[in-house]
Amino acid sequence: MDLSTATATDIVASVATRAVSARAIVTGTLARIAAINPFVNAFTNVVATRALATAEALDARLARGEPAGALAGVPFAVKNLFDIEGLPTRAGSKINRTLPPATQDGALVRRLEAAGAILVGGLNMGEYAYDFTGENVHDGASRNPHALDHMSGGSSGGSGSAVAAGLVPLALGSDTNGSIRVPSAFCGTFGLKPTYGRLTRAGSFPFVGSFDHLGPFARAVGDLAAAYDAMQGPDPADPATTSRPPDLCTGLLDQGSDGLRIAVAGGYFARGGDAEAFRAVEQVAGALGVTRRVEIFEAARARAAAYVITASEGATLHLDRLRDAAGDFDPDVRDRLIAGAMIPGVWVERAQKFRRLYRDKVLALFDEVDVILAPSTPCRAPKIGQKTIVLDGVTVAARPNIGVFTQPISFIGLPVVAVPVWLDDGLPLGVQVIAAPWREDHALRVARQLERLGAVRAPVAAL
Amino acid sequence: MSSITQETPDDAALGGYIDAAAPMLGLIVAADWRPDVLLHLKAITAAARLVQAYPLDDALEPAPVYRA
Repeated sequence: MDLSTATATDIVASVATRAVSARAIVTGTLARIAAINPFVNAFTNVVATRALATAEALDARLARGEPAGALAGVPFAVKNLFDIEGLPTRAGSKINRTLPPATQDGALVRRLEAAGAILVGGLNMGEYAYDFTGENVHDGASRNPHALDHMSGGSSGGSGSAVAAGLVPLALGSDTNGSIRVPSAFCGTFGLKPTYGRLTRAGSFPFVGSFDHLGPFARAVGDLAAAYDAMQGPDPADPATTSRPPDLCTGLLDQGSDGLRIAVAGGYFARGGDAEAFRAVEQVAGALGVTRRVEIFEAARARAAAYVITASEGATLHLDRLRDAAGDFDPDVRDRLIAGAMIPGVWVERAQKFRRLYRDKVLALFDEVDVILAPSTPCRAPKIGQKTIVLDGVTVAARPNIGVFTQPISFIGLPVVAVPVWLDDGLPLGVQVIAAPWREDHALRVARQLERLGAVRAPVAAL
Repeated sequence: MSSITQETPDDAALGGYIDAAAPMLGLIVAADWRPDVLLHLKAITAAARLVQAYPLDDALEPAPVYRA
């Protein structure tokens, strides 16, 4: 088995039948990380001893005839804002490195390992997740495996980079305003941002409680669904997590897009980006035979409201650190957070009131359609260090504007599968497959149909 | 539209606000940080004004705890 291109499904098939040991999978994975990570800088921590011990324990259980889990032997890694027992949860910062080590793994790490997956390390990210670039002043930028001088996207940059580089078939990230969907687009991977409240955030470092989501990255839709299914379920340790029972998706994928009403988002989502961002959407729509258009109500204002709430809640979270350790922040993050601390309360409340109205209007759209397609980013991955991008002929700051198309969607917690589109020999682009709340199955089915048609794919970079 | 139609505050006004707000918040804004803080505050102000220009019903509840 070529571990660099093996899917999680391939690995499970081999490990569960004992054709390959979990120890061999982990040994091979660790060797590949050692060889390739210096180029992409995706990993900040590798937990080799622990991973080998976990693998040996799994092999012993399988040898005794115990059942294999749905993710038996699948190596995975997590954005370093997830708690990993024995490590301080750095969340991309310098400041958090002095925190006491986590006393247990984050809830989703525990759930994946309960299904047989094996944690191999922590992944690079933009400081405190306030980032769309994947750059990090403390750990260095995570790099785009398909063009090493280009951004991985952020803030889950290491997650996109590790999966696209073939270091692991599965990674976890977080998405507050686009931090799963942006690196998925830039690195050419699949990513799932589930409905707000679907997956527990217990044991992860927060950013903006109103919008924080966790979710998986993978190179195959089946892997995304298998990981997602293993992570669902209520958790009283995260008050935002739903008490709904899991809605398992893996068995539904091959229904494809049959019977689903799909439309392309027009208006705001059809301007303000490079032509190729919209060509990517057209390519996906064309593959599905979609011609219908819908308008998402006041999306520009929704993005603005998300911007205000993010700055304010982020600043609230970090206020003490801004007082006591301002010099230890990434300057780009610190200066945004200081500005955020100064936002009048009435602005935030107005943004939250607008959010209620926007939610009602957008949810009404789902009476008419099941799935909406929109670009993930307004451009392909810029170069690392690039400060500005040109959108519709206007030069704007790169850092906040890479998320113009993702922010209005996470603002009301809609589930999205980000699918990777390759228009030519250049870098990939992403398309958001957006569904109604709690209908991750619809988005995953459409993504699976696109994968089957060859319209989207997540190749491992040649490194 | 709401009555928030006057010009966006200029840099001098925003700078004065930063200088007044920082001690209220217990924050120090070093001189070399101030230009970027001002740029970010300007961007936030523009976003907040766009939101406020949309008229909202008095009965509309905020959504700080969102239920999808």
